[in-house]
Order: sequence, then C-alpha cells, then structure tokens
Amino acid sequence: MPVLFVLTFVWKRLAGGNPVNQLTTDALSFSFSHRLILDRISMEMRAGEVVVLLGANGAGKTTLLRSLCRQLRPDSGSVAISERDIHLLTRRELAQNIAFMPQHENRQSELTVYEVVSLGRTPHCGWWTPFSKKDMRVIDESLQATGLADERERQVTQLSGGEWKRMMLARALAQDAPILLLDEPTAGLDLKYQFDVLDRIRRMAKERNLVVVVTLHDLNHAAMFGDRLALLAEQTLIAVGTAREVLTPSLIRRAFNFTVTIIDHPIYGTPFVVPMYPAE
Amino acid sequence: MKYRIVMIVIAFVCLIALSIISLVSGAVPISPTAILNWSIGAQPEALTETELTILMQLRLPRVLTACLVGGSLGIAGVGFQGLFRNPLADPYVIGASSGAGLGVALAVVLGLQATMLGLSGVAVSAALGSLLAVAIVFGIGSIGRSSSTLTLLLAGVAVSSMINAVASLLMYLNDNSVVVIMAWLMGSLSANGWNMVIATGIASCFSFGVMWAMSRPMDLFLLGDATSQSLGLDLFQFRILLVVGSTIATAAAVAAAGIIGFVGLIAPHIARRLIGPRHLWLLPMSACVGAAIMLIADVVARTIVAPAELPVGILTALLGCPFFLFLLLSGKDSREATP
Repeated sequence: MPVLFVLTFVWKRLAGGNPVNQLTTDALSFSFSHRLILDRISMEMRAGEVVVLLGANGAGKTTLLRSLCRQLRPDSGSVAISERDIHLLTRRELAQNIAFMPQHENRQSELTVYEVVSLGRTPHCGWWTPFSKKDMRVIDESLQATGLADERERQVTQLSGGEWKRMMLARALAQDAPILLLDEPTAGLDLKYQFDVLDRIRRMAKERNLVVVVTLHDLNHAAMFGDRLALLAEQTLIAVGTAREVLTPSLIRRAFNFTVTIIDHPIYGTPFVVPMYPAE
Repeated sequence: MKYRIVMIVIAFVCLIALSIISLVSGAVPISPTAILNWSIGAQPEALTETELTILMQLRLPRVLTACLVGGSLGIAGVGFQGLFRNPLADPYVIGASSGAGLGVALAVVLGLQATMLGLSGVAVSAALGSLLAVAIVFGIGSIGRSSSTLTLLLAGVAVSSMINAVASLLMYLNDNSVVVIMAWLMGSLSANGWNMVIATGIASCFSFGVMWAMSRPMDLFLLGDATSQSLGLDLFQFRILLVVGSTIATAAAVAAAGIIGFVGLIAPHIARRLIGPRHLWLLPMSACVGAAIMLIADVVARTIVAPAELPVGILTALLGCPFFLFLLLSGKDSREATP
C-alpha cells in the first residue's frame, strides 16, 4: 500500500498539467487592521458547478473572492487549486488559472472595446507576443457571448455602466481560465442581460467544466442559477448547500436581519424569496 | 494599424524636415542644397571648411541633442501619466526637477570643475540629482504593505519641496552663484558636444526600449490595480520598471538641456490626439512630437534675438502652451476613437 501511495503521488507530480477540478480553501482567515472579516473559512468548489456567495453588505463576499485569487494575503489558512497552493504559482500562472472580475475598475482608458477585451489574453501572450489566430478566435467568441460583437470598435469612454460590465465579463472570458471569480456580474445590467449573463455563465460552467464563484445580491437569481449557495454572515459561512437548504426564513433573517417568506417558483419550482415589507 | 504606421512615418518625415531647417538656420546661413550635394558626395567642395565645422561640431550635435531631449521627455511624460493614471503628470512629478536643481546648485557652489567621460560635472551632477531624488521618493513610497500610486505621488510632492528648500538655502547663502544656477536650469542646448549626444542617446534608447516592451502592461494598468493584477501583472515589478525607464529618460534630458518645462506634459497629449491611446503607438509618437517641439523651440530660441539666444526652456512653454490650448478646445466635441 505505501508503495502504491508513493507511486500515485509521484505520478501526480509528473503529470503536472492535470485538469483543474477544484478550488479549496482551508481555514482561511482575514482581517483588515485588526477587524476580523473572515474567520477560518473552509470550503470546496468543484468544476462544473456554480457557487453563489450571498451575504449582507460588508459581510466579506468581495474579501473572500479577492483572497481566492491572491489579491489579498490571508492572515492564516490557504487556498489551493487542485491541491496546489496558489501562493506557489507565479502571477502569470495564477492568471492563466483564475479569471477575476472586480466590481468596478478605472474608467480612464480610451481604448476600443476590442482592445480592452483583447487584454484578457495577456496571461497567455505575455508582454510582447502578438495575438495568434487562436487568441483572436477566443476574443471574438467572448465578444459574441456578451453581445458586444457590434460594439467592438467603440471607444470605451462612451460605454454605459452596464455595457462596461459586459465588457469586463468578455475580458474575463477571453482569459480562458478554468476558474472564474465574478464579483457582482449582474450589478448595473438591464433585465435582459442580467439573465443573459447568468445563463451564459451557468452554461459555460457545465460545457467547459469550469469552477465558477459569483457574488450576487438577488436571492432569486441565486436560487435559479446557483448549484450551491454559500451564505456569509458573522465572519463565517453560516450555510452552504442547495437553494432549498440555504434560502430559509431563519437563515436569511440571521444573515440580512430582514424577514422573508419562501414560496415555490410558479414555473421553475425553485424556492422563491418574497420580502416582507414593510417589516411588521 | 495601417493608419497608425502611416502616422508614425509622417511624423518621422516631419521630424527630418525640421532637423534640416534647424541645421541651415542660424547666424551663419548654410544652403540646404549645399548640404544635400555634400552629403550624397556629388560635390565634396560644396561646403567650405568653416561651414563644415559649424555644421558638424555645433549644429548637428545640437539638433540631435534637441531630438533626444524632446523624445526623452515625450516618453517620460507618457510613463508618468500612465503610472499615476493622471493626465496632469509630467516627467518631474516625483522629484526629478528638484533633484536636478539641487545637483546643479551643489556643483556650482562647490565649484565642480571635473568632467566625467567628457561630460561637464554640472550636467552629471544634475542627472545624478534627478536619479537620487526619484530613488528616495520611490523608496519612501514603497514602504509598508500598500504601496499605492497615491503614496508615491504624495511622497514625491513632499520630498520635492524639501529638496527645493535645501537648494534655495544653498542659493541664498551663495548669492553670487544664483545667476549661474538659474541660467543652467532654464535650459539651453548650446554647450553640448558629441559626448553629450552619445550619452543622452544611450540613455534614451535604453528607456525607450524598456518602456516600449511594457506597452501592453501599460494599456492594462490604466484599468486599475485589481484588473491588472488579475491579468497577471506584478504591480511592484511593473512600477519599478516604469519608474526606472521614465526617470533615466528624464535625467538624460535634464543633463543635456536643463529643466525643460511643458514638453513632457503636452507631447503625450498631442500624440494621443494623433494616434490614439495604445502605448505601442503612443510611445514612439510622443517621442516624435516631443522632439519636434524641442527642435522648433530651439530654432526660435537662437534666431529670434540673433546673434544672442534665449533659454530654450522658456520658449517651450511660451510656444507650447497656446498650441496645446488650441488642441484642447478644438478637439472637445470630436473625441471619437481614431479610425
């Protein structure tokens, strides 16, 4: 048995490029100047599933996402891609594996939509290499996927907030990474694109076997598009599971300090959250 | 793509034309056809011995220095505007000019006579002052966990004021050298020989190489820290390379011509109007525009009050400012992407 174990281990090391199939955190803690934000969070995100992070404002959703992609250094604990600690990767390897879409970004650039989206290929092309046929194809696909194909020559200074958001998503898709971390991808989008984008993300997770983690504010979107929901409150994950398991009046009251009733969605049968307003 | 290559070629041709105008104008007029005939070897005796000396020992080094100084300031301006994501940044924003000022003041007050590799001690001292000041600012700005660009900018302002105060104190205590120091800092291209051309050329080519290689990261960096990090950019490494590239260019320009104002600020803006925001094209274009501004300012500086000449640093601002304002206001409603 020990021989077999060693052999498996050696083989795994040698194989190296085995496909990414999970992102795990182990007792991840983080604090901002002595204020504890995340307290020993351990979770596992598997390929092919969409994990939705939920929580009140300031609960630490963005902090968790940024720790997952090494933009924040945790106080303790670790993050690993298929059992490889992300702190052992170079920045470029990290960017080839994880695409992170922040909530906002600087809007000073005067490039065109196409040029900004093409920057998503930087982790693959480095600083100089011109784009190959494959790069161009991936860029075109990402533009198509986000409904920006006709806007490619527009200057980004003219984009609306929602269009900018879609462009950020297109760039994250162009990064072509097996792990996709999206911070509020639907904020600022109109009705059609909220559903378009979530549907696209979900289908891509299944088709390309991606690890997808998104933060959302709309609990009903979470119920419809998330395979698993993770509810952040009190510095930790107070619930992780299916929509049915996580979206209960008591958990939501605990996380958001707000009363809701849960009914069944008349068409999809998923749990449907109805806010009780005005609060009694 | 094609449009941009054409624009660069046009800019280059304009630059050569300006250089020729600069070569033939001055106290001793030399006919351009004579230069042409001489240079292609058709008529070796087209230029007299004196004309040849003036051309080769005075005007050609001067024209080349003007181009190199303007070009260096042009790319340093692009570098600092990119680094701070701020269109108001110029090559002197984190202390290069105050460092140079102190360097010159020290060299003059101490009566530095030495030359180094054929360069005057004052010029070398100015360049070292610039480099040292920026190094101090960058060192301070990088202390602590969050080395943000804002810290760097504020550290630059603070350190510059302090260095300026020391330089003022030196001048106050040695009031007989004030005129020499001021005249040096106001900028002139007159006292430069071939050694300066070679030194400035090496420095600015190095800077241009470093920065051009980073043109894609520079595009990326404008989108913010979070985005550039998530696309694999090591921010610390990027900042340090960008500061090194921009500062070496600035120091070279300062050593060759004193503190030339305004070129480093407006050349990137004019270039952006002409060729768009992509750094791959913006950097060479800004270098061309900067060089052109310097050439024009220099020709005016030495012809307008001939046989005397004005400090070129005064003219860059005097001529550059109205032109820049014209561009700023005329382009207001045509901010479409360049085709």
